Amino acid sequence: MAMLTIAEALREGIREEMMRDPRVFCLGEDIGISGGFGGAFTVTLGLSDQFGHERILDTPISEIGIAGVAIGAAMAGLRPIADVQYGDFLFCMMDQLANQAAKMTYMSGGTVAVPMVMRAPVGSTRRGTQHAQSLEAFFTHVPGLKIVAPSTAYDAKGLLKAAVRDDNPVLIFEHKLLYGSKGARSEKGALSPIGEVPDEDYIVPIGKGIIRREGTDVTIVGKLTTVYMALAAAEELAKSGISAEVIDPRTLVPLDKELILSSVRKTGRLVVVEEDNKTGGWAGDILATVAEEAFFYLDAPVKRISAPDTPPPFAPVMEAYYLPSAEKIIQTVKSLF
Amino acid sequence: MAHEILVPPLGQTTDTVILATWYRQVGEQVAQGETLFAIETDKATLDIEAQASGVLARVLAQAGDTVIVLSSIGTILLAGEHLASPATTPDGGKKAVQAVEHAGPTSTESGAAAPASRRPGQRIFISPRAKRLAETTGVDWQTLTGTGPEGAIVERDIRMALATPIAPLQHLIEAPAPITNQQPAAAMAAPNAGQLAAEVDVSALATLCERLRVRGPTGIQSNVIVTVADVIAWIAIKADQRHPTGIQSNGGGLTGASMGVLVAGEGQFNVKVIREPGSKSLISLSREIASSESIAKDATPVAPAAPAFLFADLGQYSLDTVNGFNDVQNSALLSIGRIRHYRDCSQTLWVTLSYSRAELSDFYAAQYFNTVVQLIEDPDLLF
Repeated sequence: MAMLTIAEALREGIREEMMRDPRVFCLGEDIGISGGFGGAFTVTLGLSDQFGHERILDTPISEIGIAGVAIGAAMAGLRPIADVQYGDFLFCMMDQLANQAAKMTYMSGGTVAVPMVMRAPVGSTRRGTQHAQSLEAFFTHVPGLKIVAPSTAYDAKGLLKAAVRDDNPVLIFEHKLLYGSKGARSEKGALSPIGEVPDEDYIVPIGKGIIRREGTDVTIVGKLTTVYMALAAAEELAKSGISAEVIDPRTLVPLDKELILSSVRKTGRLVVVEEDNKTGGWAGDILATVAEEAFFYLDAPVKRISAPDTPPPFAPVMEAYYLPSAEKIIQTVKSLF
Repeated sequence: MAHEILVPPLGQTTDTVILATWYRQVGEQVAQGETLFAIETDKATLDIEAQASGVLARVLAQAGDTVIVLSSIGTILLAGEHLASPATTPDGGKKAVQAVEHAGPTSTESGAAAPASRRPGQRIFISPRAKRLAETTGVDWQTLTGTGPEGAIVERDIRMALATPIAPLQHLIEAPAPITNQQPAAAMAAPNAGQLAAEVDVSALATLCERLRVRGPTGIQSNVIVTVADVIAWIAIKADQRHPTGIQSNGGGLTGASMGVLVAGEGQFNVKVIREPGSKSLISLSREIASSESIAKDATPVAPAAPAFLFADLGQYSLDTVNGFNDVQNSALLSIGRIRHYRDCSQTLWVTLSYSRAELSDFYAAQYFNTVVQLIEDPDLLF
């Protein structure tokens, strides 16, 4: 059992899958160049030394190219793990992702699978509007994509391995403040959780959420960094006699709906915390699901804490205003009692 | 808005705490955040801060009192506010009266019972969860004052209403003969009436009923829904078989030849007669209670075969217990009250044995009652 950061856990997951299955290969910008960082956030650092540049494939700066190669290779029987440096660049490959990869299995009557993994860093980290968006909700609206969002090292490795083995296109959203990248790529204000990661083969099943903290009075659902904000808030709320249950769905599509519903049936209150923009967001959808399916268990209005409907601001002060926080969660939860 | 001072919840296992002391006197100024009172649990004494600034207008509990968590123990008034009229304060007497209105067999929608502080036609907000709980437990939420967000009635308000026991006796004195047509005052004075009562944990019994609902008593799916009341009626018989109480007029035990089950009829209480109850299985007893024909409770002259032993589920009328034994026609009445749900998921109800001393000695009654309570709390002993 090793203690790893998320970046290291992802790297180990990729390494093990590449050793296990010769069809698995990585492609992306600057992921294998000598003297490079190992991608933008060190995830693939050193892998080209072990697997060579044939399987750790450096691409030109063209997201359309990355998507095209990855989707084509997947359709032809390989298991690509593609990397975009910033999730924002997924928009460059929108046609290939949303119109081709996501729909191929449906359009072919199930005869063509696209077993592709696309890794995309998200989150506002003082980089301004085009390198800081949280696009998870956006892509949950594209049927045909599976979407995971690991918040711990254990889940990062387990979900990556599950994604590689899945026959559908899987998007992995990783948060820049959670990687624990080191050296020149270390992030200011990063949480960098380090966690135990088993050495033996394991997967975290896609579609299974987890209760990060048990409680009885309110359910707080978060993903990526907002899980940690929720846990900090829960700790603080406990001092006021409010027992908060914190749920990390880990997979956004397909969502572990029953885990959230059963928690709300117990607590009667729900707060969902996300870094996505509010309108058409991920939180709104969970609130709607709970209002539809657990209405008679609710003891207070369902609440969401989301980013405002603006691009992420560059100025640090404005960014702090824009993002959710433990304080905002505490305030919202207390308004429900 | 006047601020109700609530006893803070302390984890899942504590329902009541002891109010250790008030740090402020009634009439004194209180600032938000300053220590207002102290509570004592089995683990520690805790100082509790005021949640609002204003004047401590009244206290509803004194040092040394045992108080229920999340219940109101006082009020802080902000500048310019006055205490509401007594009719709107959540005191037991008021509730008891309302419960009787609710319990009366002919009672209809009692919209007129809304507190005086609410303007006529003003909408009362209640959370879906609270409403659901109120409807399953029979709490009249229209009469409650909400403590939730924006003054809405929330789950804890219903739980508080459930945890406020209705004062025994009260409803019989104020209600026009809900159980008997005799004068309650006279009955109370009856020198030969005995009564035993206890709040009994029915958690295990409720679980048993759930299990029976899913599996049936023999593991085979049964279409009979066995209620907690059914099982307790059955326990009443089983306890008697274990402790033959030797009732004079009945030859055998309390429930030997027949037992009566009190049910609501057309504007009066009726009795369903269960013949040879000792020979019945739980399922057939349950089925019989649900279906058998009833005779008017107060029909005169009484048929010679009228049961000496009565069983009554008062919970369905939002009552907890009865006012002593006042009926010469029967030897004993075993009644159960409403099921109360607590935060730790335990459930309790009041069990009352009212009996005629002419028929049953205090000693036998105590023995019998004790067995009933034991079997209710540990239904495994039945099998």
